[in-house]
Amino acid sequence: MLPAFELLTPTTIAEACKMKLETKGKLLAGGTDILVGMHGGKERYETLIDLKGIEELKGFDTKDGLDFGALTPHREFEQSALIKERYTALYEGCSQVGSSQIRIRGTVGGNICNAAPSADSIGPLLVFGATCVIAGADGRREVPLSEFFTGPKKTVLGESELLERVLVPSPVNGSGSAYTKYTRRRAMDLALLGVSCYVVLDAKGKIEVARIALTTAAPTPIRATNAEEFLVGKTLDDAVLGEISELVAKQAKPRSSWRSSAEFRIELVKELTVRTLRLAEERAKGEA
Amino acid sequence: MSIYPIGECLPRKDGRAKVTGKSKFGADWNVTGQLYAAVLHSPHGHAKILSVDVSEAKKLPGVRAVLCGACCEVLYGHMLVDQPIFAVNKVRYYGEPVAAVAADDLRTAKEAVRLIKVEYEPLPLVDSIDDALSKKAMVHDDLMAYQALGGVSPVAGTNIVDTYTLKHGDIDEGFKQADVVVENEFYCAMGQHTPLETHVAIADADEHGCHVYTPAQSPFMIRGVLAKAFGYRVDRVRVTCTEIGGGFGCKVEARLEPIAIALSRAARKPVKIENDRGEEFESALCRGPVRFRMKTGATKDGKLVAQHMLIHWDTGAYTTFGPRINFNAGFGANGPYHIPNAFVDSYVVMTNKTLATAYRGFGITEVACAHETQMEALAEKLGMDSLEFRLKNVLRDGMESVTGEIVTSMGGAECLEKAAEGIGWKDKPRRWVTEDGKLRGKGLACYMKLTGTPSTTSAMLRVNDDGTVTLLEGSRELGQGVETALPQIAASVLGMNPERILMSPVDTAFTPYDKTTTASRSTFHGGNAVMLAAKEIIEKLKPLVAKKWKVDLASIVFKDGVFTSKNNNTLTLHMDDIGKSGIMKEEPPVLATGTYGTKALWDAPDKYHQSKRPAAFWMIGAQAAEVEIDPKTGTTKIIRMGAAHDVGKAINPDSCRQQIEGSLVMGVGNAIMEEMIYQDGVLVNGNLVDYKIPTSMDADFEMNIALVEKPDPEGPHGVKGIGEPGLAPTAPSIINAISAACEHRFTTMPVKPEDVLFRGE
Repeated sequence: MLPAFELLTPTTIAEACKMKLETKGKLLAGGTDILVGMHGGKERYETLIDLKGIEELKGFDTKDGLDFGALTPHREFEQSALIKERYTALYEGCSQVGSSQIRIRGTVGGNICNAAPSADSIGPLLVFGATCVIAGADGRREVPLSEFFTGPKKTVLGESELLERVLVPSPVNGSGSAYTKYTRRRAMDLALLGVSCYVVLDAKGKIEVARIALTTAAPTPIRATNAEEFLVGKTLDDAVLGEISELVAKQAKPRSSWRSSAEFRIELVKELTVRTLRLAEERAKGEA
Repeated sequence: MSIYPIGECLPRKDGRAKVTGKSKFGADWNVTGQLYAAVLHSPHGHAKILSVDVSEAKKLPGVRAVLCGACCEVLYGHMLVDQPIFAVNKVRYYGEPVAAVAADDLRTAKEAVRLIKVEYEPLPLVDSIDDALSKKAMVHDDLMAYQALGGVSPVAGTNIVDTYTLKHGDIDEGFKQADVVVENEFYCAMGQHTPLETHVAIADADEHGCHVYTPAQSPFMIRGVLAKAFGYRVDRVRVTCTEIGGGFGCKVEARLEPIAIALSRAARKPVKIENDRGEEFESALCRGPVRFRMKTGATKDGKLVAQHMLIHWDTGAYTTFGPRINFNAGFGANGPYHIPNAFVDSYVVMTNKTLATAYRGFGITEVACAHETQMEALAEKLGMDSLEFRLKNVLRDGMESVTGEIVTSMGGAECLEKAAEGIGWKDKPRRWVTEDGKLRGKGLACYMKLTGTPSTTSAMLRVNDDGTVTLLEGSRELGQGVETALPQIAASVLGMNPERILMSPVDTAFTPYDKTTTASRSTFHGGNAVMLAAKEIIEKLKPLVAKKWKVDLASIVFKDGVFTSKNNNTLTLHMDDIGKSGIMKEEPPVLATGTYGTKALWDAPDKYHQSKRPAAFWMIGAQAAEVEIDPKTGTTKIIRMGAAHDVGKAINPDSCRQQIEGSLVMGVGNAIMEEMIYQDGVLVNGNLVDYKIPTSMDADFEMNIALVEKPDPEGPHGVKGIGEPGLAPTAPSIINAISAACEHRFTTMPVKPEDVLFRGE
């Protein structure tokens, strides 16, 4: 049972920003995190500001890279052939969120703003180099997604701000991406660990660009920059992959909890990074 | 010889209503003028209650009653009367009800609960079996001060609420004969039933009596407990049963009913109470943890000679059905084997955790984990195939079991063979590595379980004016198909179309007595009662037929659903045409009862639990598993499972197979996922995200199910039980397969990926 709350329903971004500033209300998109928390009694908000009436926050276009409104539900990416082909890791992330009902309801913007260390869409967006367009009472600003998170469940969003759009550069030719989600069961689960990879190969099959993101491996989703730098100019042979697994293990900062020991997550980071890189490479070569 | 419609896969009678959403489960019921209840739960595992202040809660508009331990000193219990409705003086588990509110609507009730102020002083936590045994603290000051209702043996000055000893032969002599001995420990984590439908109850009560609506598994047992707790005459407690949205044992005990009754009495209005999922985890009921220490000996040619089991069941903060688990599982603790010397030394301890109760098999999955670990370990040590080893030792007709009974109707050997066949056991090595580096292994497990004895039931059949038949019997439809099986059994005697026989809803106000829907007993016991009632129906129809035909009663013959007269072979009347025939018009209504009990056939076990007949019947079966392990991530994938169970006679084979299929999926959860985790006395994963139960994606493995039919001489058409058995060997067979694949003996349930990856460290 939801506790009583005030529901505000803005229809423009400006109106929503003003409401947020004035009421200190919680922004609500799909509600698949917020309402679940409220039902269970863990979270209480005096005011919810429902963004679903704001048309500007909906829809995506792919003319020049991917530009999507924060209210885009996971399901739209899951069902887009273009996303699946070009932004494969993002497709893999979005299509593994919760159940199909959750993916229809839950939005990618909400997934980002909820800022869970395990969020399935964030790792893929990090490796694609996404940028957040933030709207606030004082105007717009752009923040790279990699700088969006300040801690678990914490973001850079200010008192009047909301996430308006996300801009994702177009993957170049010769690139490939993959997302591996490790779960205790095969559906409807949170990532115990997530690895996202994006690689660009040169004509000789050597790595020109590599990006690796780790989810649930640190308080916020992170990029494994040491490994990324190391990979440039290399081919993915066993020796390189061996180095990579050590490098990502060093950059990961998982903590031990009853969900899993840090040691186990480190082992997963090592193994899954290797597997995900290989898959991304195969895709870059057009083999998978 | 087959008798229609026995062995027919008739569609489930409750199926249409359930899939179309017409069934009314507990939460679907509402009564006029009802209030809504909310409960304040303890945030501590063990703490003294210094004060409870309900004054602010009472002031909130819409609040009709607020209760706490100080204003409601009622104790209840099914075996030991030790449980308060609301904690008195101290809380004993995280989630224990401390106070409750009844209000005009649920939101008001929940808001009022937030206004109740409680001061606690934390006490030392009894967090584990070892804590309980060491008496680090006492969960109850004096267990002996509580009223014992039977079947429970608390030990004064301890945290031990029950003991069980089984002694067969001479264990010391037995081990002297052993050429090989293996010793292991096994620990089963705490689990939850996680029914789709959480606990729910509506009560309309005053000081004279009460009417409760609840998805009860054991309405008559709950009626008795409520009557005793509140001082009602039994006939003034009415339990109206709603459809059950999942039981698995957790709806056997009174749980929310006492809270609803107490609030209803205080508010003078009906009160509805329903657990949310968090409450269900924290304060409903669970499968308690258990630890085994096992020692088993065999000769070098592979004959079992001795087995010793030391068992500690953790039943949580109140006794509940813990002693019954101890008792039932104690009898099954040695498995379906011929072991000349056996000793079971078993205890139920109390800890500061939520309450344990029956969980699909009363501890049989857990004891199967223990004895089947031993069988694999012994076979390995002897260099024998574990199927061969088991076949060499499995109980066969005429052998003496560890409970001192000469067993008959034992389908164990056949079940082992067929279960193994289900995964192609004989064509596969114990373990192998696949081309892509995955580890494959096979494992086997079997079990033996009794049904609760003695127990009784009764059934009533009413012939309606159109000749249809209404069956009244107290067994609850929990998905096991009893609402279909019992009409099939009635139809087999009446010779009529089973579609024309329906089971009435269960209500203690009019349904004849049945002990409980547990222990896989309903088809056996209910079926026997139904058969007797059906025979009486025929005898009562005969005079009406004779009267109509104007022939001598003695000339009326009934066979295969048709009445005929020996005197005139042109006269025939089929049971399906009884209504149309008009023979019942203005005649005394035709109804009959059948009663069945097993006290007469039961031989009360002695203090060492030896008995010529401890149970009305035994259930026996086996399962085999093939698993694949990812050695780099520790993930277990179930490839296929073979299952074979001796059902005696499958009244409805589809129903039997469905029970086993469901069990296999449930057992995967037990084997590799499910675990309730407490930290500092607080349940940390009490939700369906963090407590992992399998999804249909995890059920994507091959299932090869065989039904073995070794008829039970007393079972209706030879029936035994199959409600619980499918689950018993599932987890142990999977764990054995994982152990084989990894060449490492795992001794916990569940086996998690982390355990696999860091095995031996």
